[in-house]
Amino acid sequence: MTVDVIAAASAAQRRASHPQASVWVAASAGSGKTKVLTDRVLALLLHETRPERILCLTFTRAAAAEMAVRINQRLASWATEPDEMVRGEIQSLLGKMPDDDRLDHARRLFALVLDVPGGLKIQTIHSFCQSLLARFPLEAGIPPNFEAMDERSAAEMMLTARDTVLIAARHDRGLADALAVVTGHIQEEQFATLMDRLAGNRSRIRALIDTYGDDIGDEVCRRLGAVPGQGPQDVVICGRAGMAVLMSRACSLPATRCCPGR
Amino acid sequence: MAGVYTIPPDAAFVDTLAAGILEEVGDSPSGLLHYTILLPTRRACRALRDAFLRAGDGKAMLLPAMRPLGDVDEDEFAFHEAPEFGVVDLPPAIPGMRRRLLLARLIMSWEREEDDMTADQAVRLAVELERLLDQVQTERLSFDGLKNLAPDDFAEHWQKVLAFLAILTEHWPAVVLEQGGIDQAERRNLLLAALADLWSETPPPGHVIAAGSTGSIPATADLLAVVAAMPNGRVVLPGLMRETDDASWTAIERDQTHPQHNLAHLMKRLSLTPPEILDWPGAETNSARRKLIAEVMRPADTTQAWRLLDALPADALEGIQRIDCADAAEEASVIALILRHALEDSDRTAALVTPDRILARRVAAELRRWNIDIDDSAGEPLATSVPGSFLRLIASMVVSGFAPAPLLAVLKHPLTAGGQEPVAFRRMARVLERHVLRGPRPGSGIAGLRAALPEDASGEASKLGDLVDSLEAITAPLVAAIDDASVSLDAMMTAHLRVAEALAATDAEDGASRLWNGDAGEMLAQFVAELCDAAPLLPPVAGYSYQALLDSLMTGATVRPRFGRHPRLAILGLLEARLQRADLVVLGGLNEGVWPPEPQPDPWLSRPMRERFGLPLPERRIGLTAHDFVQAFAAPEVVLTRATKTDGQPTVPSRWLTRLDAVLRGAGGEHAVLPAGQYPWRDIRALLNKPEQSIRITAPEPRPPLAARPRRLSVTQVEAWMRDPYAIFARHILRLRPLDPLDADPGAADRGMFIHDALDRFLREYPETLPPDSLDRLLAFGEEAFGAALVRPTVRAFWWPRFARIAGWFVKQEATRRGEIAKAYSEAEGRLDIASAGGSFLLTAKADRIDRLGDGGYEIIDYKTGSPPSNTDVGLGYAPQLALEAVILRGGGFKDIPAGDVSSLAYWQLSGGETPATIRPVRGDATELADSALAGLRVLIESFDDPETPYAAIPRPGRAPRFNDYAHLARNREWGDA
Repeated sequence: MTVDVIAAASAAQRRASHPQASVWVAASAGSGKTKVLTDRVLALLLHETRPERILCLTFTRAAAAEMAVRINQRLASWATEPDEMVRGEIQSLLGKMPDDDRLDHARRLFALVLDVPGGLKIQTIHSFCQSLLARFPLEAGIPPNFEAMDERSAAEMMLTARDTVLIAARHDRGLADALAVVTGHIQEEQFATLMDRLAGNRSRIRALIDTYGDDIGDEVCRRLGAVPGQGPQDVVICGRAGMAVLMSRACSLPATRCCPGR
Repeated sequence: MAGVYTIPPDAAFVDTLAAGILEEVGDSPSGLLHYTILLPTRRACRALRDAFLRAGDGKAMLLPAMRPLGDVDEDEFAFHEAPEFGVVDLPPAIPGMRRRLLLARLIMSWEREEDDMTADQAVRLAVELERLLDQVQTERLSFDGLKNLAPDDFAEHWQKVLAFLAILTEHWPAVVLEQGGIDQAERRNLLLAALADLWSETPPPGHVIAAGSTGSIPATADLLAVVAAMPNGRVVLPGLMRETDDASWTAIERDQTHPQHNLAHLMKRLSLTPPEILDWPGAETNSARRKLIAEVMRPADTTQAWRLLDALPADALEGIQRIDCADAAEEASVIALILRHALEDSDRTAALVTPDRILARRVAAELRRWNIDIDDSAGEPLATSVPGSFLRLIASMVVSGFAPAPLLAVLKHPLTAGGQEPVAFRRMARVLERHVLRGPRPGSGIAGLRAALPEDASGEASKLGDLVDSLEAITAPLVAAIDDASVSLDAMMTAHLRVAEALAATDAEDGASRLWNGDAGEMLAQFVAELCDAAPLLPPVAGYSYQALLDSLMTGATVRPRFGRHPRLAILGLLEARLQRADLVVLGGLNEGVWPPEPQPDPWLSRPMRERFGLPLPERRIGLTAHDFVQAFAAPEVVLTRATKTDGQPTVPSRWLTRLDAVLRGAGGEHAVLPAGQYPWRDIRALLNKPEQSIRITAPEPRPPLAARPRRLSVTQVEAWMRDPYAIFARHILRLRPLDPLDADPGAADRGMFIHDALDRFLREYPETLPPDSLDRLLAFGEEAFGAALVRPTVRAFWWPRFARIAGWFVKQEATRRGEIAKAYSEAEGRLDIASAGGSFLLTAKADRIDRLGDGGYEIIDYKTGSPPSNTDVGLGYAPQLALEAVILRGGGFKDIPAGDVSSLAYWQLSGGETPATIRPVRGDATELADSALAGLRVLIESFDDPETPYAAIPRPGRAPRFNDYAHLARNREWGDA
């Protein structure tokens, strides 16, 4: 019974690591997701994909480093272990016994990957985006050799920006009114969090404003199924309680009438 | 005699070269004068000179002519290295700073769709353009090739870059012509070409030896070819590995990351094969190590051979140690230990070679533990050196309007003395900090500082006015320049330097001699001189952008110490380590991304475009650092170190370490693993930091003598006395008050104070009847109370609306309340003497508000802008404030308030939110609460009248005070879980 389960799991993993399948893998921790990824890369390499054509993106630097080390270890073992062992591993990866050419290629992969121009690209999404921007500074409109801000600098600059806007609000009527609405609803401490969130989504908000302009309030109402001109107290948000909170937060309306459970 | 030689990597290059030459010369004293030796850099020339002196055993000798070829690749800003030959009359090279500003000017006038580029952005782009220009000229390519580089699919995007690069292709040559100079790389090419031409027609007399160059620069390779062909000429290559087999050589020619790649190319250029290259006589051999290196560096195409490795020779691994440390700090300590240990042998030399300058700085700092003063030969950035940072901090101070943090950074800088005696000046700076800079930020500029000076200052604080005056006078020129909306860089720099020199002056020494002193000062002087010379080139800039502009201009400038400080230890970067050798070499920072370095993305061309254009690929950098690795790794005794984690993130080991592992595994047997070193360095380091003795911290229990114990406290301090006696000890017996943080934002406590103040003013003015326009009056009092704080944006935006809401509620409340009360007393002061065995105890109070009710009783009210104490706390006696005020009131202790019964106590919670305020009456009978509060207080007094009673810290953790200024002093975290 156990053997069947393991065999089934291995078969599933092999399907997932087949280079020609586009795959979404969801699995619990420790069940071998990283192995599927590394197997996939190794299978690609065995199929003579040039290493510089492979890009692996991860969320954390730790994950990127771990993948790199694992791949290097496997390739290192293929470079030095006896033929039978390597043939066996390749077979379990590709599903068929390798011929001599493929075996030789597998042996050379280690140094090939080490020396690949630019290194085998296993990066975090952030560092990939950063390297992309560094390659096209003119087009992106940023100075070359830029450095991403660290959190402390970002926090300091946000404070300076906040102060600038608050000072400007004293002279600008429209800005002052808008500010009065905001400060009526939230505390000073929450203002910082709100500003951070808005700043994080500013390109989408800008896109929304560009699309809808002054009608953005009406559009929000329309999406909530309300009539423009109605206030928050007229809107009844149905649905499960969590959904209601989520939606109200997204629309910055107080979660007044919720019908939990309906 | 003539021909191409090599000195293998395991031989000390300059010593072997010197020994060979001296051998040839024999005893003739002037024999060396017939030699001309060409070396890559000036540093190499110095190294060879030292080698000659060592070999001559201190004998006086006439040294041969040693000339540098300026053989540095483009990634190092070492452009003060130029070939020194008076061969041909060439226009001078355009100085580096001048070129940068000329390019920046071109960039700023380039048409852009987006907003105008600021000067510092232009400078940063100029730095990248410089790099491209140098590379193109070094490879002797023409910009014409750029046009057709992009395949059709990308042609449109490429046009934009091409349009920008027109700055280099079309405009720059005209500028160069106009300046009457030429580019440095171009000049180098012309000089070397001229020399090559001259020598190929008329070889110079005597011997010519070109040693240590790998010919990576085409012009140098041509010269080497000429020298090799001369009858009296010899070329000595650094570190050719003969152990490489033929199949590998073919692969190496294609692989730019291989350490021997440049040599392979050079040999092709010289039309030679490896067997035709001769061995320089006298090179010591460590063939076992060389074999190992050759295997480790095998190009990828031939690595199948690793499986067929015979066991390595027995001594292949001798002298190699590898240490993987947990983090950068441990790596630095371990390296420092190893270097220190090397000194135990009286004539051993040791060196750390690493491209990681932070590691180098750490190791230098660790060595100071043993009073070893050592410089990092690779230097430090000018921007962080003492005089460099001084200059930048002054700019930042003025641009920020003398904000507390930048101002203090300047005042506490080692160079600052403001024309006074340094110690006295520093003391005044501390006084300024304590009285003015801590707490809320003063207004902008010197005027703001002056306004923030304490009015009735005594002692040292009275001299603060003089300090501010002198600061104003000194910084005036720069303040004026920075305020200017459009000012020339020239004028700005002049003002800046004047201010810097004035600030650096002491009463005994003038500023200039202090500022431009030492290696860093001289480098800064040179930088400033070049910049002032080139400054008129830039169009006028906005004053406040000066700081960013200065920073961008300083990129790449490094201060290299001229003389190594220690006779036997050295900390070297890769460039400095070339051709050098020590008995023990530590290779530090062996992680991917450090050594080998992360290849820098090219902002202009993609990789295939670079290749097609003929430029070297980013991988060539890796190949150069690989060659440096091999040269260092071949030392007789070698330690390889790395950190497994940097900044908490795991690292990937250097590819050469991974290769070494693979080779060792392939060789198998007893060679599968490196032998453990003689000493367990990591364990020793752990011991080094282990304390001799660990003391467990217990809760403090000070028992001061009775005479020192306070005999007077306010009602709020009585609360602290119960919750945390240690706070009373710290405050009243040790007399310690917490310092405000620098540039503090007004906090919740300040907000409470303003609101209290406003309400107090109102009540004082109208204790019995209310005016018709109460709200307006109250708001006016509020403005007075908030005062200067209203200038701060957050105060105006958040606190004022709150106060406005509170005011609205308050006047409404008062309107109804005045019907019930006869009089309201605000901020009433009271006192009561309590007799006790140890003597009289004075209880004081300042009640926010006491209302005399219609029936003659009183209500005592406390305003709280935060949350008031719970009824439980009050009932248990942990919030005795109001109850004790009732006691005092009963005894007639309040000034101008006749004694009487207290009928109720209440907290008014003034939050200013949607519900502006809530009245929270205190539960329970006021008289009973007062009685039990008094009883409790007597018990407290009595118990502390016993000298054995300690002022313990937080005796009941559940009742700890909400805000505790002395938590750190009492070390609460160390003994408790408070």
